[in-house]
Amino acid sequence: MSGGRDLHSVQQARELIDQLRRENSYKREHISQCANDLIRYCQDYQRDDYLIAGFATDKLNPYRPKNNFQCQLL
Amino acid sequence: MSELDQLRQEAEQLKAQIREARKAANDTTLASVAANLEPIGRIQMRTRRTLRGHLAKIYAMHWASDSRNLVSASQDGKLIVWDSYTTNKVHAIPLRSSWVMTCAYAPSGSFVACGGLDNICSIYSLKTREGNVRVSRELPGHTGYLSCCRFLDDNQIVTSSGDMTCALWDIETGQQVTAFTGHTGDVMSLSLAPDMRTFISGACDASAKLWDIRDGMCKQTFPGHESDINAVAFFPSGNAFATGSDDATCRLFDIRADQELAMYSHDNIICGITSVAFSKSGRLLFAGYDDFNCNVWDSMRQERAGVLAGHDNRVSCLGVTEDGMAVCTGSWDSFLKIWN
Repeated sequence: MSGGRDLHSVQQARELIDQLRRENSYKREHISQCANDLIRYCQDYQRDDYLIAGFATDKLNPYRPKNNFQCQLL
Repeated sequence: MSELDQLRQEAEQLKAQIREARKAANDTTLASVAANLEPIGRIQMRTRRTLRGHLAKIYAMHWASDSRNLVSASQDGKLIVWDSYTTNKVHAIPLRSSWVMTCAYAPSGSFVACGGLDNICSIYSLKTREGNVRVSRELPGHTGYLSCCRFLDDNQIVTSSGDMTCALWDIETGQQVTAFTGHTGDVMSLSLAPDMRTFISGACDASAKLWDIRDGMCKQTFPGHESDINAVAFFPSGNAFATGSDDATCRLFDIRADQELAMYSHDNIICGITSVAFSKSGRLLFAGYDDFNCNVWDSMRQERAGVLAGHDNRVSCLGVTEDGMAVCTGSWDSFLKIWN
């Protein structure tokens, strides 16, 4: 029985090595390039990011504060 | 040495090589590159809507593509589809199993899905000819709880499970098309890439993995966290992703650099993170915590920019609309709140 367990572990270990070999062969880019790309993306889209820039007018906000003459159940 | 010992040694050598290769790419830090970035200032948001109706803890929520409807799941055994503008309940769907842990809205708006301790992903059709909501398919097959699910389209859904695997399903046939194996702990969360060709999973083995949806291969593995990863979310460009963990930190990983770029933590934050999401530009990272708050992080400068406080219990889930106009938080206090 222990032989069966070992075979299973050997199989798993071989699969792990195959996976690690694949991951090891990945062509990594430098953090300087990657970090700059992320920052540039943020800068390109930040003006239109409502959660940072807010809404130009209240009317654009679909959740704008309701008008005075609308009833609200408290 | 036995063959097993030799194989284990080879595995350790490969891991060391990967560590070296990552170091070689590590020519600077995001913190230093972002040092000259204009700070965004204090982020102060208001609760615009409170969605009341669930009778027990809310475990999951997901926005519809229309940025107006959303679906929430609670252990009161209900899925509720809400119109967030009016707070009306569009559908209240009783579930066969009340132990629900996840829910999802199909991009088309025609279906929602959920699952949990029943190990099954159930698909509900919202647009039947009769006008009622019914189960249109059940997807059994996982041997552990369903922790997360996301539709690729009306016929394909990706799931993650406590059985340590993820799966891609053909909803029509009810079959698993692809199994994604490799994690050595419960998989807690998944996030689809914007181009839908890959997805990220986060697991209790403290690692995140990037998977190719078509061929089922794990492309990259991201270690770094010191405890269970509970949440993952892609950065909007698709080149990075954020994680939230029981180790009280969120982290940012870059896919092309194949490593961690940033950590979001503070000495006085000692509780786990349940959920994470980016704002539309990626500059804000929202994170829901066990201490009832949601912190808003400047993702580039790695500073806390604001806090969404208002829940009376753990924030268990959150999401940002596709149009970027609002963020929704869901809590164990049974309420959902919409903020902007």
